[in-house]
Amino acid sequence: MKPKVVVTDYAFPDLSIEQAVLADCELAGRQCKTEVDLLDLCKDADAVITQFARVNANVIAGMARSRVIVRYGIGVDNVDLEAARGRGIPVCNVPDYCIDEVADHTLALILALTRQVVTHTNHLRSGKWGLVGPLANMKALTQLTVGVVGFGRIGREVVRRLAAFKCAIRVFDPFVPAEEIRKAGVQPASLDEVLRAADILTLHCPSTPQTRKIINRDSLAQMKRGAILINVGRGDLADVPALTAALQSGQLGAAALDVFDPEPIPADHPVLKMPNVLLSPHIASASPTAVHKLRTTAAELALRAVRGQPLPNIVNGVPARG
Amino acid sequence: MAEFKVVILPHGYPSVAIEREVVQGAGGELVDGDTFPDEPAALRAAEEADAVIVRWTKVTPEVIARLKRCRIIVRYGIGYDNVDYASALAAGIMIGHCPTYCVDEVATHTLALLLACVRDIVNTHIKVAGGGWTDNPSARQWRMAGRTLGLIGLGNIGRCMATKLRGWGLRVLATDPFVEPEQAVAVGAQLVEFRTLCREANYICVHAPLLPETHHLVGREALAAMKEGVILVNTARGPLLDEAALLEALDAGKVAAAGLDVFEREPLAQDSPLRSHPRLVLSDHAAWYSENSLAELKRSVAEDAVRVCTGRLPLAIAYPEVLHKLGRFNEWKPNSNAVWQMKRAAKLRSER
Repeated sequence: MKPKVVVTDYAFPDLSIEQAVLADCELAGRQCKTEVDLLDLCKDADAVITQFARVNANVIAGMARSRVIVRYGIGVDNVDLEAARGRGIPVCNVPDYCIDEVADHTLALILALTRQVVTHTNHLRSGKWGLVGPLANMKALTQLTVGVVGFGRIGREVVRRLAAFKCAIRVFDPFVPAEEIRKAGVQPASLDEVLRAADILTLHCPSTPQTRKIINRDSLAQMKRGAILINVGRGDLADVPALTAALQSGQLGAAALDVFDPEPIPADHPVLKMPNVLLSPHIASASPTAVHKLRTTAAELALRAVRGQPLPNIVNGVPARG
Repeated sequence: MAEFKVVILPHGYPSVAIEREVVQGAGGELVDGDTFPDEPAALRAAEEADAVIVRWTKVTPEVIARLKRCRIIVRYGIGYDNVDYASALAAGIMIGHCPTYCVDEVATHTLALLLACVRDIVNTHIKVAGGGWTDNPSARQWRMAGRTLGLIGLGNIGRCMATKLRGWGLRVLATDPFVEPEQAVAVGAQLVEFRTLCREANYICVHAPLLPETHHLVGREALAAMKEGVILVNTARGPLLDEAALLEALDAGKVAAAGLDVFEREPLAQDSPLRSHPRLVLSDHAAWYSENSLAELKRSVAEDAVRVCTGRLPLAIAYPEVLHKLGRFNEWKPNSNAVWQMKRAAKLRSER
């Protein structure tokens, strides 16, 4: 009997790339929305690939023989890592497929806000001409401080690109030695210092119990009035009601949000109508090259697992089997 | 009685307080063109000026013929293509400008437009703000790393662009008839022929001045030589790019997207098809702007007018060949930008 690989949900037009890698397997893809869907799909799977669906403890308990849970992406916050470890199921991510894309997208968002790209384009599309105000929204990066939260692969690439714009850069990352941050030519700082110094704050940390809602009423109050928030990390890094209130009150001058909590953004949410908010639909990682590498790598990880080969990229402490 | 008179032709700025402070501080009189009922009235006032400062007004041979004592026409900006060079030279009038005031702003704005095209920022925002979400996310978004970016023009702005492109994993090409290969290498770019740049670049940014020989530089022929899916950005001058040819190339899919800050006719016509094209990211000649750059522009333009009115040479002079005519060439100390101008002057002479 062929091993069975299941895909719980996916934002691609089809699963042809995965099928090509998993030619010797039975591949079943769905768009699971509920725990019942997930339990039904995963119960007899030999490998599970997931994108955004919540693979919680119940779903994991219902897996009779899965040898891996592969996350399409870097973040693994939709998978209960402890529950998987308890069952001895390794959880693997794809850590390196989109570093350049996310860093490029971050700079695109920062520059779109500071140069008012969407405002200008809409102004011209609506038939008008003449510098559209308020002119104070056009900001020179040379005069600003950018705070970077998270100095992993993406944070480092963001800093590399930002350096040439001659802004001051402060970096917070409790897991990276200060020396390593200094070596990149930027100043390490505590979270409080970064919050207070930043004219632009950009988030590049994973969503973990320690970082969830790191942007909340208190941290927003510490920031300079009118500062800009960029979030391409995870929606739940920010407490959405506090974020919304700060954007409404002017405590935050603007925000660019590629991620939200929840996704998609609810149809009646006020951020959809705010002129100082720039939105994109969780696509900072996307490019044809990146998506191809993501899908191929995820499928290869599933294949290695069903063949009993050692697994790279295990993120929940389960020993690699061989 | 003021020692000299500086006239600013109609400009549209909210205030000329900086210019007034500089001119009056040096003992001159400042005449604000926006206080006249119309342009002809302001031009009449300019007839008696020792220096004229101009923003958008076309300084034609007829206008220049009426200037009785003018020694310099200073353009608010880097480009001076609205001032007739030949008549100014014949009349022994210098043309001043401000080649350094917004270099960082324009380079940054160029990258903002380029990245908005590369990451499809405007369309995705409109889609999400309208209640949509992702379907096939990778279709119109790309990465910078591993690609080739071409700079047409490697003057102050082109060089500033090149230094900003160092952290992106790009291969940077540049084309500029007035630059030596080592000058390109010094900013991390490789100097190539125009045709080579068109053929090899995935992303192309225009940073050349508008001259008779650069009109429609990016036209049908150049576009045809480019890669399928190329992205273009023009923050220099509108007529460098043939807009009709660009629209055809966008509709044919040859050009994936473009960012335009400048247009062949400004203001852009109300019914221009550029305004509604979904693959265009637009701004209205705004790349130069920041609070700081505006103040610097005004001060520098007024200071150069004062320099000339008080017998000195301006810091920045377009077309330095006029100094030969005035017998003041030996007084002039070229800066790096002026070396560029000298080469241009030499080329112009050799072509005659």
